[in-house]
Amino acid sequence: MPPPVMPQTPHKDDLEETWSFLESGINSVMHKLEDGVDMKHYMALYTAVHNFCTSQKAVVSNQGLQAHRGGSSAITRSLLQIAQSQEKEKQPLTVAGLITAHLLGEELYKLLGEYLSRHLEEVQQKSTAHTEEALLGFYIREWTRYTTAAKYINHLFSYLNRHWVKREIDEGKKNVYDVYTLHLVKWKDDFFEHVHSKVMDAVLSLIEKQRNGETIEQSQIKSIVDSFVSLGLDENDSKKSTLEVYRHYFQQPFIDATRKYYENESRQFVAENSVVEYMKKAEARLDEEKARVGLYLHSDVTKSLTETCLDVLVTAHSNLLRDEFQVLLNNERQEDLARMYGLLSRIKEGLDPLRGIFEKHVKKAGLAAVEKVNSEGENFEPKLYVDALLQVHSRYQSLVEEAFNGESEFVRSLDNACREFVNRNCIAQANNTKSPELLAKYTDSLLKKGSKAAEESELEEMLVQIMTVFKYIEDKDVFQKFYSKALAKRLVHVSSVSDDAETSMISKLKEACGFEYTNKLQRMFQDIQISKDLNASYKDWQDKVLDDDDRKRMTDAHFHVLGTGFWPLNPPTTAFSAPPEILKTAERFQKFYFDKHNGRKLTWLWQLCKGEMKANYIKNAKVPYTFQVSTFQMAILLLFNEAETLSYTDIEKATNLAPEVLDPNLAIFLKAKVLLASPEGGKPDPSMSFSLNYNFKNKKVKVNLNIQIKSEQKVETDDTHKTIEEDRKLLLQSAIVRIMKSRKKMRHVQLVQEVINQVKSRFPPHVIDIKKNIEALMEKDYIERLEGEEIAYIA
Amino acid sequence: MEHSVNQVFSKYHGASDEPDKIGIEGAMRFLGDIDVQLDEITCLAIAEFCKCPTMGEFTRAEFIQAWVGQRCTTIAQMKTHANRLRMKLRTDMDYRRSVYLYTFLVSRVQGQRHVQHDIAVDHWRLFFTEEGSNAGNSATTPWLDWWIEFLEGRGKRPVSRDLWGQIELFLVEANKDETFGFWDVEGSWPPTIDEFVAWVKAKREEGKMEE
Repeated sequence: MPPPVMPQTPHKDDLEETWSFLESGINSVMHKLEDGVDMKHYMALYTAVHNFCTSQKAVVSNQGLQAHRGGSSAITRSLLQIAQSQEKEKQPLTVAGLITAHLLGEELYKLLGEYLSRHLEEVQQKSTAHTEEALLGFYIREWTRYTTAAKYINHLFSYLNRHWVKREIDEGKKNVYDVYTLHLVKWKDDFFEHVHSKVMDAVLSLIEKQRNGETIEQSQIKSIVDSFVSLGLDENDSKKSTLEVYRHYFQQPFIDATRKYYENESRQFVAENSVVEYMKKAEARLDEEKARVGLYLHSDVTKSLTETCLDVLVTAHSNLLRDEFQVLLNNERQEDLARMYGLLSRIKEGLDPLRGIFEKHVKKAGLAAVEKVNSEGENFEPKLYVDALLQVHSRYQSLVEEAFNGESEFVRSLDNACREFVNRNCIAQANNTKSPELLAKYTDSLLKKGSKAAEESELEEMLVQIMTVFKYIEDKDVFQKFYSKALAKRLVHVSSVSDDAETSMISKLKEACGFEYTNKLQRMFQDIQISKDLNASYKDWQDKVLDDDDRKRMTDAHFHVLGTGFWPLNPPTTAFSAPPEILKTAERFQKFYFDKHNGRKLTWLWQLCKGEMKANYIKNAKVPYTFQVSTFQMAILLLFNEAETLSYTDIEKATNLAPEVLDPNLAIFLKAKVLLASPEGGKPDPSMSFSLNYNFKNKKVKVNLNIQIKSEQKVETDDTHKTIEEDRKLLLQSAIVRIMKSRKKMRHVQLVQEVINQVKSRFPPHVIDIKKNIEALMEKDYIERLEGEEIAYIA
Repeated sequence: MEHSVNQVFSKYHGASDEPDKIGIEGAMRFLGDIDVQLDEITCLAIAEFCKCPTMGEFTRAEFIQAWVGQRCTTIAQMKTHANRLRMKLRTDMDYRRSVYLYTFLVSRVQGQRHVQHDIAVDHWRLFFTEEGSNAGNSATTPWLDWWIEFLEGRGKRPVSRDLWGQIELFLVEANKDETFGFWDVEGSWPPTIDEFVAWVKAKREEGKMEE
């Protein structure tokens, strides 16, 4: 409802008249805004402010102005006086870079401030009637009314804002604000200062209720937060706001209360519940508080709220949590471990102690698994051993992945633990190279024909697993040795399960250890390929050269020519006179080969040769038996084409075989009943004689007599170890020479360190061994010692 | 001056010697005349001074050059210089070491890289016991005796140049610090010396057990 009488616009020179006109208008904006404001009246108010500020006479009030400005500086005052003297000539004057004009309005500004103070005093009086939530309601109501009015009043006084206030501020006056801000300042000084602690008490008890599970009016808190935030004014620039007020009056008490609340709650909860339950609780509380920020708090609080909660809920109980870690590991409680990781990962250095425990635990598990394999006797399958290692690894790898977020530090702990138990356990203790040996043997068993993993994809997966263990092996050179021996056999005996699998394995090794590591392995493959072509052209050659007679008596043969430098094979350890049939075949090939490659040398590896023989002499056999035999065995059996019974010495003389080779082969014949001994029984010895068994019987038509002899296996393993020692010496010496050659002079310690760096990808060298090889090289005059622990290269 | 020294050289040159060499007999006479005993380090110092190619042999050019350099033309002057060297061996440890290192070179049997065990032991006994030595037996530990005992125990192997040079340094250190504080298994000492340290430690343990 518009006022019934249109008020007269006040006389523009009259302060009192102007103010009382304004005051009644402001008052109705403040109190009766809901009734609406008449546009004309509103315009009148606006005009009154404008008129007053532009009136001439106001200069008179200079005195009052001076008094009011008790605090202003002498310079300002003199500027003002200059401005006043200039006023008579109506010309602005530039002083010290400032345009100083005479602007009016201070009185109005002052009176408005006084009005607001009066208003707020009333509000404050009324507030004492309220407490708790009612107080919050009251505060928010009054705040809303006040700030809404402030916007209108600010507009009414916009002339004042634009001129007088602006100049005051430009001149650097403190405590002068635009009219809206003046409202806020007054609110803060005259009301807020008196009620904030009561208001906060109400807010905090509301939040506590919510934490206790009650439903509350969240919007109230949100409004309070907004109000507190609005009250933050930048001292240096009133147009900017800061969060100072909010931080000091809201955030601080809120954080303190939060800390206290959770200190109590967690202390109590821990006393009455299990650690796992507590972790769930803490997790839930952390989530809840995070959500709280989004619901009704200022986002500025997030950091300190989270820190406080973590401090009280996690850090304060971190020892308790960590003590539970081993228990959870023992019981494989993956989910709870993940929960613990989640909590402790959020505090500083929270996880460090866990890593050590985890590493120890994995190592223990690995050792226990190997222990179990070991308890099953000495002759376990390599597969059993490798599987045991893999199982432990994969179990804890998935734990790290699932529960520990795949965090790199835990991966490192896992790797450390695995490296330990793979290289040092009850099976690999006395002989540190047992692990690579077993791994290589297991690989061989997979890649050899007749392995159980028939599926190509399954085999590939197993090769990948082998590489997992391989990664941890320290003595990679040992693996290489055993692997290349086994590969040589697979290739020579054509017993690889597939070329693809072989290639795949070699490329994996190459990827892990580099070209040099697999170079010889690849050359072995090439030799086999070249040999295939060679045999084809040998066949063509034979077709041209041989006559019918030769062809009739020809032995069907296949040859491998293997480069001495690449193949881990040795010449036979025994003398051997090959039977004439074989010798002729061998010589013919040799002739062909030397024609082709003049100057090369061929060494026959008789111990690796094998063949098949047809036994036409056996009675009662519809189809003649075929014996699969080694060349040595062939030589023995062929003797019986000429005689039915032969003495041990006959055989020994004819074949030239050493007793260590001859005896076990005779034993195989006796055991298979291909030959009969007289006298019967016992091991073959020089007093025995042997004859063909014409009544030989076997279920199969093809009989494999080419069985590897146990003692041979052992000798082979020992030999391999011996070559490893030799190779390591060479590797160390060549590393030392290489380093010294490039560095010329070097301190002993540095040289040792550098050598370790260079060879550790192959095997972990002992310092003692390095020193011995340094000494050896000194004696060979490659290097010499200078005074002061320095080593020099001798060119 | 050269002429005078050359005269001295000729005086000891025997009929059966090569034209520019004094053989073993002449050498012994010469050393006797300048009052140098065969079983003192000074004898080796003179050999080093005259750049003898092997023990007990002087070559003309080096002999003349060495003595002329010192302005010694008579036996009496040479005797004085020998005495000077004798004193220097007792006070100047760097000099003493250079004579020690030279000794290895002239103690090898021709064509070999190592010095035979027995010869090495004789020299050690000389170097590590004669006045001025700080590398021999101490009041509490018979370092030299133990070292020789240790080498005998492992088969009297020939001694390499490196081991020769290092053992002197080692024994000096061991005399200063009998607990091997200066030693580290990963340090630069030759492996033979590392083994010796282990041997000494074991021997000391044994000694304690017996007490």
